[in-house]
Amino acid sequence: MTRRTSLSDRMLTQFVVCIALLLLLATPLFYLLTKHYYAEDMIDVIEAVKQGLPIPDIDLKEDIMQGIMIQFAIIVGVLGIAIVLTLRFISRRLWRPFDETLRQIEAFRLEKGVLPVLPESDVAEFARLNRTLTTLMDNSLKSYRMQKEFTENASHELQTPLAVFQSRLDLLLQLPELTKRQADMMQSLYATASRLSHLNRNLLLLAKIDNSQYDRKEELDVITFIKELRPSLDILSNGVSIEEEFLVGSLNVTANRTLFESLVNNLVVNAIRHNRPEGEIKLRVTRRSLIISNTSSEPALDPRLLFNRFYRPSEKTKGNGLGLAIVKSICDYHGWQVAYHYEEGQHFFTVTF
Amino acid sequence: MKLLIIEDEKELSGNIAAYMSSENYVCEQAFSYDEALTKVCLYDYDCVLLDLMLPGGNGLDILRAIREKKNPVGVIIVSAKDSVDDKVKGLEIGADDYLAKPFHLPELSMRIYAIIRRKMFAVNNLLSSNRVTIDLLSKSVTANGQPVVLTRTEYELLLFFISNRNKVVSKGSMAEHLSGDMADMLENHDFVYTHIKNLKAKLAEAGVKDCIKNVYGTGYKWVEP
Repeated sequence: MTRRTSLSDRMLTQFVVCIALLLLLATPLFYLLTKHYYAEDMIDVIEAVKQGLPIPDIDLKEDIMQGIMIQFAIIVGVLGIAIVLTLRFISRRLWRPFDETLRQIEAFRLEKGVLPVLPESDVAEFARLNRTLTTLMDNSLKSYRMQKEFTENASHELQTPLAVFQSRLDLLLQLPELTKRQADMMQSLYATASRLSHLNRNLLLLAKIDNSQYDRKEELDVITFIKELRPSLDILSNGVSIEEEFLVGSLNVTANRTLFESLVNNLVVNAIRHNRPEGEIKLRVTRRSLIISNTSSEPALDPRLLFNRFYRPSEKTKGNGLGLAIVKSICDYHGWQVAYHYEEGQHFFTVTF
Repeated sequence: MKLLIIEDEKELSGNIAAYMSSENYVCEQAFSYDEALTKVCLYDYDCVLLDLMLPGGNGLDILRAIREKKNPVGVIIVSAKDSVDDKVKGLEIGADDYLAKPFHLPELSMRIYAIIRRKMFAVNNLLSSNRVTIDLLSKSVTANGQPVVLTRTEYELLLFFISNRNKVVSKGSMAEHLSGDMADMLENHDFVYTHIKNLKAKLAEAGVKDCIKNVYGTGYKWVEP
């Protein structure tokens, strides 16, 4: 294992090394300076004495001033260059592991569940930072995973008591002495059981999408799919007319079959549920999108809130508020876009593949 | 007919047994993995209901044990874990059907009936009740000897009724049987009423009247004298 040093120690060492190096490089400069300014007059004097000439007139004061100024400038220059070099280039190298760490955590997504491998660093502070970050992300991932699993497990555990409840009702319905009042009460219990089981199934579906348990994907033709769906739609439609319009011969998408089915079912059942009597539904398939529109007596919805879980625009709203959240989740999962708009009394839902 | 209910939730198991017993089935119950394994090895059944998550082991291993012995018993997996993988795996090992919890008893009853019918009367494809005969192969129906033309929905309803003869079946169970998950999304199951009305009218036209009894609008019953 390499010995870790602190960031300030490293900076200091590199700065000192840099200055020493620069000073070494500047030595010829000092030499020249000394030779031509300080020593110049002395050499002249020595030369004159040797040859018996009169000592030349020299201005020591000015020479010293000039020499000091130049020397000073060189030292300041060397220091300046050293500072710039250490700050710009050397420190950039020194901070590289930090940049790398930053890049890694910027790309980190809790939902993806992948713990990034932060680079090993021999700088004490960075090593500590990476260690702390790794622990932090690991813990977040763990609790995120646990929370997701909890939703899924809770939904699973609820299925059996729901089955008990529902089967008990089915048995109760067989009693020959059942009265009208009791039957009405049972009807409302049935409705409650159905709502509960639907809610539970939806929660489970959302949890499973979040847990990426639908990774089996295949090529599907949207038009074939809608044609196959048609009989079930007709059973449910109850007086609402359904019109199809295919602008292309086929539209192939890569999707998980279960999820795609759920997506389309949710949208069309919504279109039936919020329709008015004798209203209509239109299923349009274009080159890149599926557009489902329906007539309704309900006003336009808020496109920003519409896809939120448990969003209900009014107390009269039917459904459990999860249908469109599921649609959104499925679209996100496959990388599709879903949009809503309202036009001339019609609600439009567009899924762009 | 002998039925084995492998389910650790005693109350659910009891409810299934109570519902099926009145339909001429003899029901036996197993509440744990070991008990179930012993029973399927020792006795013969016509149909086995199999829960996958059992105390002591995985239901799929029981299914494997059954199929390894070349036991042709019909097996329906009843699981709280509605996962595609489990379903595919179960059917691969040799389950005949898969039903996710929670389910309606009439739905279960119909599936059991269908499996036993397939296994035992492989030659006979006719099903009759109250002078109404269904040809399961050609999916055609005759009443009083006259052909009756039914829509797919009406045909499915009739089959559902006859499979649950003399039982009150709730509107919800019919809705779910007809349209699966989609009915689940609709709170209002009145669409079933329209189809029952049409079915009744068509049967009445052929002279078969009063066999579908309405029980206060909560359920319907196919009455067989």
